[in-house]
Amino acid sequence: MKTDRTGSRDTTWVVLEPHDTVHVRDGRQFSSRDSNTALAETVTPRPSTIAGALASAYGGDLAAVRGPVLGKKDTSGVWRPYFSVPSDVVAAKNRESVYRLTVGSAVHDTDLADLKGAPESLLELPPQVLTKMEPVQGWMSGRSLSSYLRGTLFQNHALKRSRLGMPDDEEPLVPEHRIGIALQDRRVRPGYLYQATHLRPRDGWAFLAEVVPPPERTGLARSTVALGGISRLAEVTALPTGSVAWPQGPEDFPGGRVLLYVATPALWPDGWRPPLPPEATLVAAALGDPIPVATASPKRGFNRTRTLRWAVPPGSVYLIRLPEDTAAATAASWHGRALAPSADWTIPSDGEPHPPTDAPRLDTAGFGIVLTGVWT
Amino acid sequence: MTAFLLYLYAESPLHPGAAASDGALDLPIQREKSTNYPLIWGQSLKGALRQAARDAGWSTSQQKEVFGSEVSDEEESTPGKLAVGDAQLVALPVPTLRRSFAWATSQLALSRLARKYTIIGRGDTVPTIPNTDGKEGACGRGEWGGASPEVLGPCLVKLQRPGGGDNTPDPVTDWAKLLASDAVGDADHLSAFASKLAKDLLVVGSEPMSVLLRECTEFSVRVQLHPERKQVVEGPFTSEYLPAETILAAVLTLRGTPSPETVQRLRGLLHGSLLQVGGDETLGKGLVWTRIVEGNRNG
Repeated sequence: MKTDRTGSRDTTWVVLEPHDTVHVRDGRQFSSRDSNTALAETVTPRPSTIAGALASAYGGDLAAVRGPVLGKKDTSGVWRPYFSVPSDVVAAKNRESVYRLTVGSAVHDTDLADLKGAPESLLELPPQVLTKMEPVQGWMSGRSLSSYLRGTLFQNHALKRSRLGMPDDEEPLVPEHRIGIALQDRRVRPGYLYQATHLRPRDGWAFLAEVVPPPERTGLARSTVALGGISRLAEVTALPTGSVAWPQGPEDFPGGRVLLYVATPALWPDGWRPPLPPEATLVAAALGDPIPVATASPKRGFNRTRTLRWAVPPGSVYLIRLPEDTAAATAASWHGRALAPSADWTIPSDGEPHPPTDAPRLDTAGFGIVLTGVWT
Repeated sequence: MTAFLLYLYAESPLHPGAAASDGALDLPIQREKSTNYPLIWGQSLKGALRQAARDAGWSTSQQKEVFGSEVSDEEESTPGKLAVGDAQLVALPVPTLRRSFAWATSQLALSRLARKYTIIGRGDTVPTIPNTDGKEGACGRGEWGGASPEVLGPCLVKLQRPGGGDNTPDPVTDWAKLLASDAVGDADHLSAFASKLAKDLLVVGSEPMSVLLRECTEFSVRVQLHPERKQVVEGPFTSEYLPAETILAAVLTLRGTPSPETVQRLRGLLHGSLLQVGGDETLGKGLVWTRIVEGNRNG
């Protein structure tokens, strides 16, 4: 356990290792694939699913959870975090070179100009690149992401794909399609046939999260917890202090240019736009497709607290301009945390409102964790 | 929270049916997407356990406490205390040129089994895992191995025997004895197989194992005849089965604080029993002997 960067709380990184597969539905109704089979959409565990499992592991709600991110155990037994490849990293299909988008023309000639809170500029391919490009999908190591954030990974906005730090094996979470039935009198019950997709982490892969336990419950109460649906279980283990950390960002932000990287799905009051202070200017942004996030609290009433929202996906990036003299301090206060004001709900200061007791505590459940870097 | 390890030992071929056909194979068995290892999905196994409880005369409330409510259009479902993990492959019988057959396992399968023992709090009881990644394999200091490769199904596999004398480590034999004891047991009707398993477990490298996993399952071509004309009216269609003598294992977890009576009832249902799992029940398929390994961990 180490002291939180704010000095207010201690934090611990934990690993959640599923016993076998993970099954997390996206909250939408079963869809009818054909006349006989219902189809359940499945997603990677959202922060609220992880936070629920960790609350069970710690014997009660945590002050905050920051994650999940993917983790891979290296040959020495140390867990290494992996993150979504930033959305401004693009490549042509089957090509070895990848490129980082650069700030281009102003948006005032486009439809975006009519959008409330629109960024100033578009992100465009570097001038020397003419081929059609797509965002690079997948995961990259924390070390490579740190280099990206510090602005040292790309040279002239180009890079060999092999230097992105993507895992050698294929997708870490392998989908498995499973048929489910209900039996009645030893026969398949008519109308009770469904198909669901489970995700099986490859050997050595798991989920990592940083937790802020309350002072009265700093240790794990139990290590085996339910994770996701249909009674799938996972082992929770607290990791040694300092063995896992958020990728380091830069210390200097020339020109007040701050890049905001979304590490976990973000639910913000303004939808796609992060809650920025008045002095911040949104210069450009690269966002992936929105992802569905369903939450519910069995304790507070499943149906009463059930919500389905659309979140900004991990890997999205925002290019921001801040006053140069305060940029470093502001970026440091954001790095590895949920953006204010949601983060402040964790530990209200004097005079600040407490969160409504009935509201889902999405802000402390790991949504909207951001990392900061530089852009040019 | 109380965790058990449940071993399944196939008395007859098993057909845990997959979600979709696989090329020319109409009815394949369930396999992991990432490794191609056969398994029984936790949901399928849980359904089989629930059916066993029904057949054993458990009351409706006893079934509901352990397995949850039955699916219903009228009532909201309630979860049961029992979480059933996937039953993963431990060892697969493969034909050999001597001793009729042997059980093939792998570093991956044993690592997963060791993990299951750790989950139930018995991780300190498992032997070390032989390092056999690649083309070769490992065997115990007994019947197998030597200068020539062994024929395992369609594969020719060089098996490394442990060096040194009788007092030096022999992890494959240690694993074989553990499985003979925990997975098969010493009941009269299975003791001969336990003795054979103690001698005939082979740890196969990942390359030949991937071939054995595909080639050493059973395939059955079936048709349906017209009752009077005796002509084929349905089929042919091909089904895949895990062969008899296959060994699988799953972790069962009773969540919360189950009463001693509930734990004892489940233990009585599953220790030393003959269970029906998977499809083709009326063809005699899917019979498995079950054994419970007690956990040593709470929370």
